[in-house]
Amino acid sequence: MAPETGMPESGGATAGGERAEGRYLHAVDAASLSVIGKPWRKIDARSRVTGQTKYADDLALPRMLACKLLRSSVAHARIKSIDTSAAEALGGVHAVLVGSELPVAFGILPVSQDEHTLCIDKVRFIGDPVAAVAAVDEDTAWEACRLIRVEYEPLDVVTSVFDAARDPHGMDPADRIHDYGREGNLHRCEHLEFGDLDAAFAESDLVREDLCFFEGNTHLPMEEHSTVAFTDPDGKLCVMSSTQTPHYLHRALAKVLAAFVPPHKIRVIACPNGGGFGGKSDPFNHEIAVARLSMKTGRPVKITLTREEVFQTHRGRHPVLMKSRIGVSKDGRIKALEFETHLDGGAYGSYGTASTFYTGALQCVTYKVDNYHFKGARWFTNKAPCGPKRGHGTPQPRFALETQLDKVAVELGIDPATLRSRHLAEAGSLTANWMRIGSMGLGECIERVCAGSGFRERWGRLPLGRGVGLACSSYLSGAGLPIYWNAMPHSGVQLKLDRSGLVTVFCGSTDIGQGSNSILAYIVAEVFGLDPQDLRVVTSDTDLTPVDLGSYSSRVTVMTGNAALQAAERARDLLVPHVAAQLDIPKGRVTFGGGRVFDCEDPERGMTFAEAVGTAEAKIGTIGTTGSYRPPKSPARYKGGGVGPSPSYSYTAAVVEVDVDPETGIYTVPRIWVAHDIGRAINPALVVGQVEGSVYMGLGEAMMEEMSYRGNRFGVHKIPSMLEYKSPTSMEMPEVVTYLVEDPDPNGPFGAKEAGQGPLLPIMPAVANAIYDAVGVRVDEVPVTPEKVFDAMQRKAQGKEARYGPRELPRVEWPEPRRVRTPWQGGTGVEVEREDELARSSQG
Amino acid sequence: MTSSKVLGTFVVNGEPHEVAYAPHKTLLEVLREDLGLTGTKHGCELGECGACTVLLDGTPVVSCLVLAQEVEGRAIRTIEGLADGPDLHPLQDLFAELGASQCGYCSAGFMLAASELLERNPDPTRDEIRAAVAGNICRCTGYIKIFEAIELAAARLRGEQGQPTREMLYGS
Amino acid sequence: MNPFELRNPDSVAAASGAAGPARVFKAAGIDLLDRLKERIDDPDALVNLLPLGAELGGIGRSDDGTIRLGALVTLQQIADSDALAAPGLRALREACGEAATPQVRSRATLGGNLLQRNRCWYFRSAAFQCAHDGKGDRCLAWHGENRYHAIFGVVDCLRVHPSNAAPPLMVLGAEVEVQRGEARRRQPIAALFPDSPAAATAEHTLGADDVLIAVHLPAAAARGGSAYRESREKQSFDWATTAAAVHLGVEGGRITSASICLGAVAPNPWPVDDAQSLVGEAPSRELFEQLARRVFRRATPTEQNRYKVEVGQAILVDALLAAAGL
Repeated sequence: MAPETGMPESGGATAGGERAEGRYLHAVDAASLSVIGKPWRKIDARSRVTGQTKYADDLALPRMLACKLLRSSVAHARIKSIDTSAAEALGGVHAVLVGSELPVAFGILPVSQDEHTLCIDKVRFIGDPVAAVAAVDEDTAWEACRLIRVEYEPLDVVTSVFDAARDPHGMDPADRIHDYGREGNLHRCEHLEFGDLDAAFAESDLVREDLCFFEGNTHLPMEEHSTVAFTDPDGKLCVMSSTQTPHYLHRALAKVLAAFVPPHKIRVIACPNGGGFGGKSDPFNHEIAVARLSMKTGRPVKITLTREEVFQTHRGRHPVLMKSRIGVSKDGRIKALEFETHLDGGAYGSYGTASTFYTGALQCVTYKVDNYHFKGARWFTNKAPCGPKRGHGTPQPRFALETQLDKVAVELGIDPATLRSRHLAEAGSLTANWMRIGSMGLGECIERVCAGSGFRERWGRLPLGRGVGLACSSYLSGAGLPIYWNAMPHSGVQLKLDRSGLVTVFCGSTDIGQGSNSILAYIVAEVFGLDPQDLRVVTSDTDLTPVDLGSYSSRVTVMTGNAALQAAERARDLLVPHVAAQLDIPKGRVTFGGGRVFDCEDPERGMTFAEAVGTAEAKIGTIGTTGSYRPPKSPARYKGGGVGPSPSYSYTAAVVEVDVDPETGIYTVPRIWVAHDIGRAINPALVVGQVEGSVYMGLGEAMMEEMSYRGNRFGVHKIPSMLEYKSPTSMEMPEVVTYLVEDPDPNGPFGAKEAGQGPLLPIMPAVANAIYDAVGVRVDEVPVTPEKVFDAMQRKAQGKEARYGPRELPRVEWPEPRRVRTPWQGGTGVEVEREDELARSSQG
Repeated sequence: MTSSKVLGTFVVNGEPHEVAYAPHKTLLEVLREDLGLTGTKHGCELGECGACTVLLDGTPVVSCLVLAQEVEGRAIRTIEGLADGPDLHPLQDLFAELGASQCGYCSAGFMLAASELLERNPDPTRDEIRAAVAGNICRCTGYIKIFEAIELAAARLRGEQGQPTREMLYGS
Repeated sequence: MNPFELRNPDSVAAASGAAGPARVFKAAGIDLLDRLKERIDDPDALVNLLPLGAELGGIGRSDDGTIRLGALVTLQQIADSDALAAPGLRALREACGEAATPQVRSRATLGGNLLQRNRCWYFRSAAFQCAHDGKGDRCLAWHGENRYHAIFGVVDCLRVHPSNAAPPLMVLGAEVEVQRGEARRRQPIAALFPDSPAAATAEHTLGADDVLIAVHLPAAAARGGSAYRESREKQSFDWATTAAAVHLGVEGGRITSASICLGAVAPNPWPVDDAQSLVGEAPSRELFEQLARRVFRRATPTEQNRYKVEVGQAILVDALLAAAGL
């Protein structure tokens, strides 16, 4: 099957022009690039280091009111009554909002529109908002919230997947957390089968089954969510918010506020985010509440969440309980892989449907897997809702798979690096579950970290208490499908050029600190031969900038980058003929560089870039172009195949070194080697920063971070503060040796792939594998705390299984699997039962 | 409820500012809300993150746990006062050059804590740097670029070149 | 925070006299402002002790070798103090230097560290009413989340004493100086903590109008060796999960005096009487490990904090070895 390349949309609203050669430039020799591949400062670096970047809470408008939400103090209850009269009577209170005033439901995914701005009939977790107050200041709003009387009728509280799975048929329907989903509190239940598992297990030389648990954790961005809403002087609603997804927020506002304001009169501006990591990707109740309050009061209204509320807002990593059954041949080839995941979803859908599929989507893109089987269940519980956090749904199964491969390596007597590198998935190939792999640099990544760390020489040979562990991973460069079905581009870019020489780039993307604004500037500057600092980049404003779906799923560099490249090349093509005519040279000799446009055969002959624009402007009028991008069509056409496809996959390998105290299990991580296949680094300094940041966040998850309610039947979060939610400080951060592997991908702008999420993934399993190498015990649970290491060491000393981890899964009545033949079975990418039907319809 | 305001003078970045403010406000609130100096951030308001770090008489403090009333007349330095006119402080230059400021939300706190370190210790070791910024949390960078930026800024303040190595910018 | 009045008394006596219902003393206010912001406490007025630095500040060493630490001395000043450089006093410097973060240590005071409220998350959460905060009828940690809670000395409340400074001051034989009205008194630091730290009992024995003036260290404390070690889940921004302060006299290869106090394991700083059994012995790892096992055999862990028993032993052994110079 011929690979389908991601195609830019044809035509442009403002101008088209001739197509340039080498559109994707992925094969371009690095030496010929003047901007790409260089460690430029970010274009907004000055603003960020001088404290001038305006985050949402930095905004202050005249007459602005403060909003506070009254949040549920119980985990699951029916709301019998809400009395706001005392709050409304309090001096300084301008408006009180309750759920019945905004009855329209919303949610990030069309399949789970299960949230309300403020709860109407029932509350589903501690922190679920019930009422909102706008008052002259925060203290008054807080006081008013205290005066609101809510009468609750308690319902059964569900705090674990085991609770949730109890007696789905026998339960009182009224006790269900939601009245949709599969049954009881089972939200989603998916069953996919690729190839013949039974035969493959029968042929395997080694079969093992492992259970493991990945505890939930949260993003903990430094900035607490904040939103300012106001009616602008022209009577239109404007919402400025710390959101990663202004477009999706715009849609949610338009839906919930449809009775009050049409979509084109709503403007959403995403402020620079003080960290997101996925935690600001949902449209949030507080954003809609202040929007409505600003309309009710006719004044600007701001809400800034407290840190405790940020924990309640959550949407972080799902706790996932997993079973992995693997069948391998003597040389370690994965003949069969059977994966079962149980996600503890918390109280709402959020991205959970996608999260569920993600726990089964990327198992096959790293190593060849001949036959694959996935069962995934997501359960509702009365806890803060889970959603997407860096790696979205894939770190948990990655932990299970990579620790299991370590055990396989030990059993087969093959070192873990060789076991993996022998059976890498191939560049350009299709996986058992129909994911198309582009460039694939994992082999080189493994070799780089092994060479740097001496892994092959040291693994299994270090003294007691010292160990090294290896793990690998892969991640998407953007999701292949948008959140809501549509055929429009995922990213759009507009360019404006004028006689001053200024190029302005407009794009709906949001810079959450990763540098996406700068990426736009680098790409456009490369095409025009300009200094990226000289461009103006305008982003994340739904009134001014073309739609980009948002800063999630590591999509921004690839998608906005391709759109920007297309727009820039179209603009270049507008200039070239007029410059060529002016210089009286063939068009092919017109060259852009150093702020000039010149004859490549006689570089002295030329003009400034500003003059070039002016020349064209005089001939053809105002200069503007657009570019847009839509990912390639995926060959995975089965139901559920929409999650996992991507224009390209990044790859990472990591080696972690640990020092474990054999007495207590307390351990430190002195050093980590990490190699990341970035395709091509648009800016290597930013990529190194993303890799180091991912390693840090992964290490936090590996060692200490947990969003835990354990031992708490009330559903109260145990640790809603930055102090009690343990995250690594400057004192824990190890030395990190970062290698960038550049294997340009045909779908990436200049060959680039993602960097922001993939490098997090191998760290947790590499830590667990290193612990095994150091003290010979398996901790099949994240975080790998010293206490768990100690527990496993004690068990080992007592002659029991040298392991800490889960021993059972909830029981589910799985539906019949959707069976899809693998590419090597002659499959077509659809379910077996639909193959005939589709064949008939294609003939007809 | 809302209490009547008091009048006080705050000396911020060398300039006295007369402010009418609610007497239970913290220094953080007066800086951000009454003086409009929003470069000082907050991540918890409970002294648990270091984002609101400012220098009080030259010493790093978390401004969320300082009552404004107590610091009237004392020397307060914020991120807005770190640059020398249009010229960035070497710490700011290096944070920008290395990408030590990703989302930038914690950067002011880090740079102020680091500037105090470099005042008393012009040539700190990596461990001394770690300890000096142990009261500041960063969730983006993994601290490494921050350590490197402080080391290079120290070098530049000593009059040395302080140029980033190839590994810092391109990886190993 | 709810509004409050900030009172600035001009003398300790005036501060003592300003005390009253809904009025609390404030030093740096690190813990107090936390509690006000979390709305756990809601006083009408704060009686500010910080302006009384002349009386309550400073580290002074008398000719007889005794040392006076003003209650407003900061943790960082203690950690950096040359007056506390003797090996016998090292435990105090180490304990103060390891607390919290640089930004907190530069302001947090010795008095505030000794008198701060405990960190039990039920007590600290406005969502819960427990017997210790006076709004509930029982300790919620018993059947709840008790990973960080007490393994020694429990009456009916599982809180642990959070002070870093208290265990070393206990082993150094410190006395505290307290003023009420015009009257000053001195008492052993152990008397600062209640005999029976029940849920209904305050965390310290000072009256509402008692102002902690200073802590005094006897000259003998400087002799011998001392050390403080603690376990934490991360190396900054964290409270100890277990801590041990040790003071040892060693002469001619034999231990001549021994004092041990554990921190973060009991509602009070937890002195170890068994330390006396070390006297006369030659210091060794084996000896210290035996003692640690003996001490922790008497621990009464709850469901989730058994691990503290293991780590606590290792921490105690580390502290003993360091104090003995081994």
